[in-house]
Amino acid sequence: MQPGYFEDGAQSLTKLFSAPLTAVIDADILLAERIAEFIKAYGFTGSTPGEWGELRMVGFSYLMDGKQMDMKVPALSLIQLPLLQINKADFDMEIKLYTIVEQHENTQNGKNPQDPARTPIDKLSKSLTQPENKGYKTTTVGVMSPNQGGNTTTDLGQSLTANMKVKLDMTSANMPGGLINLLALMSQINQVKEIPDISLSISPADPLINVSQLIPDDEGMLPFHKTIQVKASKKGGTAARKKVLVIAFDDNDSGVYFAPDPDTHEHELMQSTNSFGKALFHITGKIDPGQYSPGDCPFILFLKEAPDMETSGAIKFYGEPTNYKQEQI
Amino acid sequence: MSTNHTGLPCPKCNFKIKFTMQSLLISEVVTCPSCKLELQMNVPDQMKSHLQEIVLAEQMIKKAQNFKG
Repeated sequence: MQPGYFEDGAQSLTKLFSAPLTAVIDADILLAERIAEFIKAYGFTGSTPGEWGELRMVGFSYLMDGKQMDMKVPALSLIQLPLLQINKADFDMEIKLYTIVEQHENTQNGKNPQDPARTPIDKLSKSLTQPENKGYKTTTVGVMSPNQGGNTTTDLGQSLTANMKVKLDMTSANMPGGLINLLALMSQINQVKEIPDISLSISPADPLINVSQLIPDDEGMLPFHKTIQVKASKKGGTAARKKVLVIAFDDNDSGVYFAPDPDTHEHELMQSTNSFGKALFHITGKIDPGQYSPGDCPFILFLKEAPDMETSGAIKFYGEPTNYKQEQI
Repeated sequence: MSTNHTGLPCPKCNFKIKFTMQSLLISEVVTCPSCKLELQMNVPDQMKSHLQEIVLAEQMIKKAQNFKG
C-alpha cells in the first residue's frame, strides 16, 4: 500500500461503525463468562477448571425446643447473585468522510495490477474536481477526526486527538430461567438434622505404649497394638446404642506409623457402639526405630453423623527401642 | 427476579431471612427478624475469599458510577 494518508487510520465506514459495537458485544460476553466463573467458584467446591464438584454449603446451627439443630444450605441460595449486563451503549464520534478513487487501468504508472493505485488525500480534491475522472472506482472511507477545538493542523495531531465518547449503561440482568429453577430446587434441599447430645469418654484416658518392650519384626520395625474403649452416653447417662464412632490419627514425623483401615486405606477407624454404648478400637501400627522419638500421637474421636462433636486424645509413646539399640551395637 | 428466591427460610417460623454479602462475610450469628430465632452461621473460608472479592468489585462499580471523566 502506498505510504501516506492510507496508513493513518482510514477505514471503511462499516469497520468504523462495527468496531465499537463488536467491542461492546465482546465485553458483554466476557462479563457473562466472568459471572459464570464466579458462580462456579462461589457456589461449588470444584477447584480445577472443568470440575464443578459439589454444592458449597453454609452451615447454621440453632436451638429448638432445647435441642441442638444443624442445617446446611447451598451458598448460592442465600444471596442475590451479581448478574450484570450492558443495557445501553452510546457512542459519540466524529468522522471525516473521504472519497477514495481507485484507478481501473492496469498499467497506470507501472503499478502492479493486483494492487490498484490509490490517490493520496492531498491529490484527491484535485482529481474529484476534474471532469475526466471516468474509469475510476470511488470508495467512501472515514477517519476519526479530532474534537472541535482540537489540534487539526497535522496528520499526527489528528491521529493523536481523534477520539470517541463511549457511555455504557450497566443494569442488573434478569436471572436466567435455569438459574431460577435451580434456586427453587435448592430451597427444598436444605439439610436439617438434629445434633445428638452425646458425650464420648475414652478408656484408658491416657493410652500408653512402652516402646522398650516392643519386639522388632523381620524388617526391623517395631509393631505395636493398643485397645481403646470408647463409651457413648446420652444426656442423663443412658447408653447411646448403634452409633458409629470414628477415630482419626494425624500424620506425624516421630517415626510412628498407624495402620490404615484395610477398606478405606485412610488413617481412620470406624466402630459401632454396642447395646451398652461401648465400642472397642484396636489400634495397630509400626514404629521405625531409626526415626522414632518419644512423644504423644494425637487423635480425634467423633460421631460419624455429627463430625463437629469431637473429642481429642493422644497415645503416649515412651521409652527407647532397646532391642534396636542392642542390634546396632 | 432473584430476590424472591434468595434467602434462608427460618426453620421456626418460615420467614425468609435475607442476607447481604457483607453479613455473610462478617456476621457469625443471624437473627430471624420475625421470631428472633438466633442461628449460628458457619461460612466456609473459601467462600469468604470469593465474597470479599465480589464486595470489593461492587465498591469499585459504585466508584465507577460516580466517575466523571
